[in-house]
Amino acid sequence: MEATTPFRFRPVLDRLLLTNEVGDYAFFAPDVVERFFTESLSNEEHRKFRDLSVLIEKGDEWRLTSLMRRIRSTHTGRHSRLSYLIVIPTLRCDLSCSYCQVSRAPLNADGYDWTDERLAQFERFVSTIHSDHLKLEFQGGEPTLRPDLLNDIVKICDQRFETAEFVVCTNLTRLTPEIENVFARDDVTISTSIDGPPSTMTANRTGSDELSEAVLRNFEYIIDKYGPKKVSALPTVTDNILADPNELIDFYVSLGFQSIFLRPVNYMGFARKAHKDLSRDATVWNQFYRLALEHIVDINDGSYFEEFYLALLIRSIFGGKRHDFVDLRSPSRFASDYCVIDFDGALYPSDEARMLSRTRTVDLSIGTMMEGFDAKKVAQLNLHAVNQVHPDCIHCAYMPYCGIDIIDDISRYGRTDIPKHETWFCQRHISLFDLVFEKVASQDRRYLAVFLKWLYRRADPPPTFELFYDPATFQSRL
Amino acid sequence: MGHWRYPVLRGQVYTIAGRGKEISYSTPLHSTPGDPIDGDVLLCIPDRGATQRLFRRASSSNTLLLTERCDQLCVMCSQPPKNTDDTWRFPLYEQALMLTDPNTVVGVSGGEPTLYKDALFGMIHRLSAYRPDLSYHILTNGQHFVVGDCPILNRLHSCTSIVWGIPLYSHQEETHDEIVGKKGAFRHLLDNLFLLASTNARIEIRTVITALNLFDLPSLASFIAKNIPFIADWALMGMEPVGYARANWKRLFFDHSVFPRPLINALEISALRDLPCHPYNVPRCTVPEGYRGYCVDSISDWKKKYLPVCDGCSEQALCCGFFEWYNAATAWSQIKPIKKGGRNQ
Repeated sequence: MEATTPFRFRPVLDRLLLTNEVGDYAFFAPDVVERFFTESLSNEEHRKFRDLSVLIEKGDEWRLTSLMRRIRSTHTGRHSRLSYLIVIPTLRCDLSCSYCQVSRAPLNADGYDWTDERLAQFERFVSTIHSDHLKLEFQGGEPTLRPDLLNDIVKICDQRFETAEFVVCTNLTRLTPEIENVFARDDVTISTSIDGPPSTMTANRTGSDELSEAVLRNFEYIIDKYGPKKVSALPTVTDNILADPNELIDFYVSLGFQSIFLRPVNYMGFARKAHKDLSRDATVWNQFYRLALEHIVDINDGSYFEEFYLALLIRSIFGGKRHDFVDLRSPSRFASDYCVIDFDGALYPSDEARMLSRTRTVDLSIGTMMEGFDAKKVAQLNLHAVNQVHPDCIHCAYMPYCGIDIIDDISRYGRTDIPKHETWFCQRHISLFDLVFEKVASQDRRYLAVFLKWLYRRADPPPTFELFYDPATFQSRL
Repeated sequence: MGHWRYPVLRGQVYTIAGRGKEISYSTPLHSTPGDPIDGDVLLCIPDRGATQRLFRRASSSNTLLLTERCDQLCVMCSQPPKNTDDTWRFPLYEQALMLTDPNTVVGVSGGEPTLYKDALFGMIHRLSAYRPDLSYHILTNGQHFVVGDCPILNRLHSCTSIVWGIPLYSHQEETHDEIVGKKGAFRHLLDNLFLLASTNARIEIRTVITALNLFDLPSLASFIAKNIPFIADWALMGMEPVGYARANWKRLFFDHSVFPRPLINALEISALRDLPCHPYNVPRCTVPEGYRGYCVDSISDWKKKYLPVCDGCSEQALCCGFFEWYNAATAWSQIKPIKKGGRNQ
């Protein structure tokens, strides 16, 4: 008699993909599950089930030990200490981007900046954090409207933590000497938004070609002065870009980037209503994404260029690299290792949660700097943010690679309990994983060669195609 | 140092201070300028008229052959087992260890030393009180640990530095079992790797490269990274052309200098998965330039040689060289001196 451990399956092309509890996988004939339960597997299949530690024979119990160790190591040792803060020192912004009506206040508005009292609260709040290292991201609003506050916050962190690193998320519309003083620090990096060539920037963000060009000039100035590692850029992919991904991607290549994060716009409030289809149904996005990826694969012929998100998935599936992407992890463990501190001192589990609260969709604040975390509310959120026990996820072949994002579910559907397969998050990720495993199942060398580049993060990776084949398949190919 | 002051029946250990000394049963000890004997520890066996140099001060690799018995029969074994009783030597080895130089790294090999694990554990444990400076590198097939050994292993690992060198030849149990000549060895080994690891053991996995498992190496890299990533090092070892390896050479030898891909992919996958991995007994010129940095100068000085073709190689000082009994006619075909800058000539 053999013991069995959980496995999940999904048709991929003409094969059946089967994954075990920790994401080891193998491809089988489509009818293998039926034969598994009627105990009529071929020797080869039986062996593959054994290699996956799904079937565990008597005497082969080390497989169970190994499986347990691997499960344990994926779920422990992380997320235990607060070490990543997103801080909104001001909600005011000098831009009024098409997709951002909510997370900004007008440039001259009163009462949207951190006060001295707020700074004192922050100092007390970080004194309760038990980490040696802190990563702090300045969001907004436009944080560079208040370089004095940035300096104060950096000073507090320098005193409190052994090491600290800072990211300033800025629109780069202006560079004053005060702002440059902040940027010049070695522990400060810059993250900015570039949605495409100036025309797109004007339409989406700045409303003026002059300003768009100023942003790009400032961007180039920073790279020239501080090197390409100083600044990263993110596009927000809006409807006008969806039709033609190539322009955006080529623009990033021309700016010298080796990576682009194709990140869908997440409409909030009124904008969400205006873009209802795109917000509910991921089909349009998924089509765009596949088109974009084709272009990216072409670009990789002779150079290195990655789509940030898929590269992250590839490294986690085939390279065993644990990622800590907060919107794609499970359990989400809200308020464990990161949180958002708003201009008014309120704490949020994520930036999107903050925006949802701003639109008064639902109050997702989980405490204040003064009073600390609201443990009850955090626990309630966390209870629903575990795909490993979610009834819709536990049968999914991609569960071991996937995460869960209930904030996104709430923002789109106003609740967390609609069937997962109807959610944008699930549809987007199923499509991503399908794409990956279709390429593996068909042994598409063109794509797999690009996956290898991303795994090794270099333009000339070794041809270790073994990484994509389950051992049994690989053996029979020799 | 002079003569034995009392009768010796089976043996005695001795430290040498001075040259050309004579032991009572007339074993003259000679030393040459290139092979100093000062400070060596000898085992003298008068009734056989034999003297063994157990520890050579001048050598960085000193190994005690604890027993010649073994329960596995590896196809490439360089030291084929013999069924001799060497247990009478154990107390002498313990005395010898007391006499060794400070900070000696003591190799323990066989045969299979853990066939006498209680004696071995006891010896190391007792010595740890007097010679905490000693560290051990024990080669074992990992078959003989049981849960009941955990308390003593925990104690040993908390007071002594031990590296357990354990062979694993394939991620496929049939292949591993075939190579070690013992059915069920793979499963037993994996069980015991987890058991050892639970006692904070430092484990070095050793994989001898043969034609039987060469193509398994990349998958073995993934297997180790996934299942036993807690190991300290993965040694990919060139065969030692002696013993069974010599007898089975034609069947076992694979010329990776002509086709290094599986070896390289194993190194690359290991690097990707943060698994420390190093070729041992693999001359630098047999692997492509970018991978030579992984190679370890591993062959003990007393059995190492270089070939005439090695003259003028810019990396000879870093290279493991060749086993004394290496036969250039039947082995790697691409042995070439490396020019300054890395290219083969």
